[in-house]
Amino acid sequence: MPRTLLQRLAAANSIHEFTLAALERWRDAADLIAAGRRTGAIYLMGYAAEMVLKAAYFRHLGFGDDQPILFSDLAAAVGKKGISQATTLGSPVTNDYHDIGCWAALLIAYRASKLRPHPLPVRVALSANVVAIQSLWRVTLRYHRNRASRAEADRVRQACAWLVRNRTEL
Amino acid sequence: MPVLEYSPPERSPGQRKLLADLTAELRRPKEFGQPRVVIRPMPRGGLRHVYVIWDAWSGCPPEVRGEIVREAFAAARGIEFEQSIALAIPATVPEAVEMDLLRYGVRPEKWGRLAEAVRENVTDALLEEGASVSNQHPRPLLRFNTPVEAEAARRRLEARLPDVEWEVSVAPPPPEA
Repeated sequence: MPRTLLQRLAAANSIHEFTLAALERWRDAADLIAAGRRTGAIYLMGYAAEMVLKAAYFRHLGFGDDQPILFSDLAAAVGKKGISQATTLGSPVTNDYHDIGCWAALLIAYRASKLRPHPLPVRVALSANVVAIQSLWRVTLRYHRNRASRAEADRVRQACAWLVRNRTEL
Repeated sequence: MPVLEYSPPERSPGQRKLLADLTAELRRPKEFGQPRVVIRPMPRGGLRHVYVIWDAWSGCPPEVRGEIVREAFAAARGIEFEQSIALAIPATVPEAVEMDLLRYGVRPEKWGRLAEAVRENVTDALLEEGASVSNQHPRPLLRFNTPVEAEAARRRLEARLPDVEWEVSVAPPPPEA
């Protein structure tokens, strides 16, 4: 009997899964924009951005491409509960592991702490593009009727495109 | 315009003691008890993740804890080892439980039915194994990262207090984030 969609999901999160999923959601979003479904597109692009940032952070931490990334790894990164990398680096912490602002800040702080900071133009662009997405995206978008404007969708699309294009430089 | 440059604040005597104790522990590790130090080698870049689970961290600011872990490893294992640490998590037992780092517990069965004297012996044994007592967890909380560590502790406790029945418990996994 063929396995169902949920049975076909990877057993765990990993850098590889985050990256492939980010690219899939990015392409899904492009189709939605083309079909005029802009809020749905923004909803998916936010996740694509989140997964690009998480993949970049865990790559810097030495995770293998297919090594499982567990809840405790997310908590140890940006978590508010207990002690996380973010708390020891003075970076913002959160209980919302979809908070892309926290992931971007942690990525920047972590590289700086290892004396391997992002080149300035990359750091500026990373912060600006994450702020642009964060200003229009929340996971709670899915619960509400809404119709994003063309300008709003364009803003998120450009910001997300930069993250996807530069994902290996983050 | 004046230029003001600040040095980092000096460590308190308590923080200096944490550094000295952790360095000594890394040089001569005990078989069990706190601090519990877990070193996780990573497949990329020769990096390591280090977890120091220790109730003595309580009251020490997070950024100072991280520095103490790094300094202790630099002193005990050398600067190259310290530089390979990509993640240092210095947490108390309750903090580590919240982070889902310690899912496997060891506890006596029927705590409520233990006689007072037995309960005192059980408490002493659990504390020596590295259990935590806090306002949040008034009964000694003995937790581990893996079932193997938990089972080893259960066996030691059983050998020490054979009249008490010991069990390994597993906390449910957290919901997917």
